[in-house]
Order: sequence, then structure tokens, then C-alpha cells
Amino acid sequence: MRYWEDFEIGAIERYGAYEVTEAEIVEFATAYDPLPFHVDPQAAKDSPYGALTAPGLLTCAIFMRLLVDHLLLDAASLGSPGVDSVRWTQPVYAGDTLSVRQEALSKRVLESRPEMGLIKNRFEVLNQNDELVCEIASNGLFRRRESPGAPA
Amino acid sequence: MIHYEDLTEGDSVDLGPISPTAEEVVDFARRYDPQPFHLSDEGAKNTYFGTLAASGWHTAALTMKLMMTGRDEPLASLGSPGFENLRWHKPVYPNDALTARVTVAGKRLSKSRPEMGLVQFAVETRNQHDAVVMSFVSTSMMARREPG
Repeated sequence: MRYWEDFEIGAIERYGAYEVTEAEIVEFATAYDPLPFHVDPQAAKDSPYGALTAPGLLTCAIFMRLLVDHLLLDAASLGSPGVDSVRWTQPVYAGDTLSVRQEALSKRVLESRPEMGLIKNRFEVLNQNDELVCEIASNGLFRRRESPGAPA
Repeated sequence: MIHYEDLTEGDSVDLGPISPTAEEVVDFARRYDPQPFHLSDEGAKNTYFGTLAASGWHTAALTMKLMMTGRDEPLASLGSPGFENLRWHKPVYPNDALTARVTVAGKRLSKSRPEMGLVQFAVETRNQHDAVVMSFVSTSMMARREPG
């Protein structure tokens, strides 16, 4: 189990291999982001993207799945207050395989809740050619291993 | 179709409501955010949420759906380079009725791509108690009706 203390500033982790299929793109896009170049392969071919592309939020959701599997299910995670910025830098196409590169940028204890701490991370979502497709600056809350007032 | 020219800075529109069922909350979480508090009431007990709560990314996806389909006409969107300052202020529970207040916060023409302009939307997602559950500022690439 990883606690707030276990995250080292500057530490880099690389994980995940998630293949994005055409079926998943069409299903997600139909439900949440039904633009022609996300739901219709023919329309996508005629668009500036040239082929079906994943909605940006599907890339974020896949990032989340990789983060949960790699880190959060085995950490004293207390959720996230939010995401400072997300940049979609290149299209994600059907057949791409996505992975995550994580770097811890800073950490601090919450003054109002000293039993927990905040960690700012920079995440890069990369495709199979190591090209950056999405950049996420995010915040995570984690329980402290030794917190004031905790039972001994 | 709503084009770049049809949006005026300061304009605001309320879209929705949309209500995720418990089944939808769990389905989304199983695929993309399988943390215990997004999967069952049992897993949410003794957590910040108390009972089953939606993944924050599910709330974002539902808000996107309102932005894309909640107007009388579809948006002539060409995609988005990203968003900023996403905050999850409060939990979203199954059957909450979510609405999105979408305000045009800014707009400008694209120098490199005369067929489109960039529009900033300030978005607040509220529940049935009028409490803001999520907010963010997104940028959309919007097609121009008459490319410059």
C-alpha cells in the first residue's frame, strides 16, 4: 500500500498498454461525443483527421483506467479535487496502444486536513510510437502513513 | 448547425437535464475507473462518498454529451485542443439530475486555419439542488460559416 510519504518528487513511472479499438471509439462517442469523425468511419475518412479518432475524453478515461490499475487500487488514495489542465496534442486512432508516463512534481500536506496530503503529477499519454497524444496536470489526495491524531 | 459566428461572448445556456442510472454509473466505472466507491454502495461506505458515486470522468462525459447534443441544433465542432481548471466540487450520485450551464467566455479566429475559430466555454455542471458538482473551462475549434 502506497501512502503520501511514498511518492518521491521527480520520480518517473511508466506503465500500461491499452489497445483502443474502433468498436470502443464508436461506442464511447455515440454515448458522449457523437461528432461525425468519432462515430462514422466514412465521414472520418473525409475529415481533416483522415480516419476515425477517439474522443478526447475517451483518452482521459483510458488514462484513468491505467492509473487505477497501476497505482490507485494499491494506494491510500482519497480521490482528486480536479485536473489543472488537459492538452490533446495528437489524434488517437483505432488500433493505437496507449501507455502512461507519470512524474511527481510537488507535494504538500493539507493544512485543513493534516491526515492527508496532495500530490501534483504530470502525466503523459503516449501511443505505440512514443508520441505524446495527451498531457494531463493533475492533483491526487493520499492518506499519510503517519498522521497527527491517528490511532497508534 | 451552430457555427463560430453564432456564438457571442457572454452568452449562456442551460442544457439538460441528464440522469445517470446506478447501472450506468457502475458500467462506466467497471471499464474506466474501477475504484470501490464507484462500483457499489458497500464499497462507498466509510468513504467521502457514503454511497455509490459516479466517476468524475463519467460526470465529465455526461457534461460533454449535453454540450454536444443538448442544444436545438448541433455544434459545428472540429474538436478540442484541451481544457483547464477542471474541479470536482461535489459527488454525483445515481439518478441525480445534471444540467450544464455553458457560457461563452471568449472567442478568436485561428490565424493558421481560416476555416475555424477557437471558442472558450466556461462550464458548470449542477445537480437538482442547484449545487455546482463540476466546473471547467474548455476550448473548442468551431467551424466558421464563411471561412475567412
